[in-house]
Amino acid sequence: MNIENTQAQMRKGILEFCILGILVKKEAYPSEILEQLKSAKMIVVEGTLYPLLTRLKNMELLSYRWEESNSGPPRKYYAITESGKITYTALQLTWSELSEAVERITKN
Amino acid sequence: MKRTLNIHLGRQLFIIEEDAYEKLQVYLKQLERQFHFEESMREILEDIEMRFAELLQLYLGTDRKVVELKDVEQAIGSLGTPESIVEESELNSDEKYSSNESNENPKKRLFRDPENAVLGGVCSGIGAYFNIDPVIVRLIFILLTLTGFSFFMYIVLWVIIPQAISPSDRLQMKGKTVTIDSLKEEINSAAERIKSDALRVKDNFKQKQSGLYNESVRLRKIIFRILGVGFIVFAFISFIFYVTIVTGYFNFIPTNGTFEDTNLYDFLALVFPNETKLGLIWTAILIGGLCFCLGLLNTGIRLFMDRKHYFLKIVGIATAIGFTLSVILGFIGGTHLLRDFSVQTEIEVESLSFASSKLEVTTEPEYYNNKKVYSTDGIDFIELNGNKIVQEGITLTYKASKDSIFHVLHIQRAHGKNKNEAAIRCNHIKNEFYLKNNVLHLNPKYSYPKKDGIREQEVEVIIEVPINKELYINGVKQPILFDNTEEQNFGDRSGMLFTNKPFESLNEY
Repeated sequence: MNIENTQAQMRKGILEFCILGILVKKEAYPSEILEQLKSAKMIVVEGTLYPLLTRLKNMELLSYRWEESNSGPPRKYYAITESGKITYTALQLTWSELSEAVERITKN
Repeated sequence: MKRTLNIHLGRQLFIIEEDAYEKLQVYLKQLERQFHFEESMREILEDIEMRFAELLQLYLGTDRKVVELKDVEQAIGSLGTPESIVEESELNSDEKYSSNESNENPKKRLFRDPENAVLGGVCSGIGAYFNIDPVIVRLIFILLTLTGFSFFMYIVLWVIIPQAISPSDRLQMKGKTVTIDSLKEEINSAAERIKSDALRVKDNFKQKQSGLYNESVRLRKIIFRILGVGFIVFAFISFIFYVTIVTGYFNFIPTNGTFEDTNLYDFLALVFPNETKLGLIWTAILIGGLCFCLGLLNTGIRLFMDRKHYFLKIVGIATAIGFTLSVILGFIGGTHLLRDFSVQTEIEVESLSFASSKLEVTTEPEYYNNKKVYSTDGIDFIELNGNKIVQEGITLTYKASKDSIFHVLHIQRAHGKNKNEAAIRCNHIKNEFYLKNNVLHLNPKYSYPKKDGIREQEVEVIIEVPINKELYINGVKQPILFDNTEEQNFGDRSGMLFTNKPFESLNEY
């Protein structure tokens, strides 16, 4: 139980960075974002995505529009905003600094 | 065989087995609880529901039509349990602060609440401390003000009680433990309030942009609030009067010296002997009084509030309608009453003439001619005696006789809507009046039946006195002095009238 806790702790904050990273390449449905996160083994629990998406949207780093689909109900189609792109760039910097620091510490 | 239900989940329709439905319900409720403090809870839940529906649709495929328990469980496995979703998506909390830990009674402190404040937030703070709606506290405060607990106390409390500024203050004010979660909740709800206030300010700002306008707006608000309080107080006072007058506790119509005053209803019963008209007028008074008080209260509350409340508007319209209705009813009753007074008729009930050398007039009690005298202070009194109305005060007029004989005329008057009706009322008046051994007995009291109603019934006695005869009033001899005018005031305490006629009778004494 405890180790899962720590793992969850480690994933926090990074998930949002990853979501921005996915959307900076192209627009996507939540299910598509999920696929990419899953295949990269980033996400364990699907439900985590939705509150994060909403939060990012409230901070105006993302926006969405409704896309009609022939098979089923309309779905949200997310895209990154300008301020999202700027934030993403800042986070990239943070990530590289962090990962370098961790490398240095854990190597020796 | 299992029971199924139809559900609408994530914009899709599903047929679902009973046990699967229950599991799903529990899951959704748990999610709701976990996300309770999140800002966009609704949105997140909708998204999760939509994903859930997507998954279910996937599992069903084309060959299955009904969602089973295993489908729901699989979807939950994929989406995650409520705890794990929340845990992984949280940003800044470290360990989840278990709310079970803080069961020690949180200390509730008395603060002023600036967010729910009307004037200074005193009443909202007190309301938060005692868990009462601040509006109730304010009403109690106003009632207390009526009994003398002065407005000054409010100022004192305003100064003494500190204002709740930080979120932790606000939590302490409401008596909740200050934990990270509760702080988060508080900050979120504060943020919501600020946001909606900011939006409102933005709208207002877009309309007018002068600082002076803001000042005058604020001043106007304060004036309205004070007026509002005044109206509310006045409404309560009026209501107290209304209730006491209408229920007959308050008797304010003077009836006569020995008996108590009558209440309004009984008095009106005399004025409107006809039952339907009485009912009409009484209904008008009941409705009118009530609408008046309610209308005052409503106006006061509306002046007090910032936003227009639909309910108050409706109440305002209802009281206005009720009041208008009562005015109309009163008008109808009033015009009927006036019609009854349109004609005055008098009837000469008796007329006596006698040729004696003197006339004595006795009246009980003693009173003065050409003026009505009453046993107390000069107000018209009405007394109820069985089914008769007794009034006091007849007019006594002395005139010069055109011949050398005494003439006494006993006249009764009343009003009615036509001559016949007035005459009937005149006839119904009974007044004691008789002549015996040169002594004229008069009684200042007269009566008439209750069912006639008060229609200004009057009695007048005209005594025509020949110049060369003697006149005694209550045993006192009167000098007979006649002016050029017909009427003469005898026994007038202010003195006697002098004329240019010879003082013949005086010479005899």
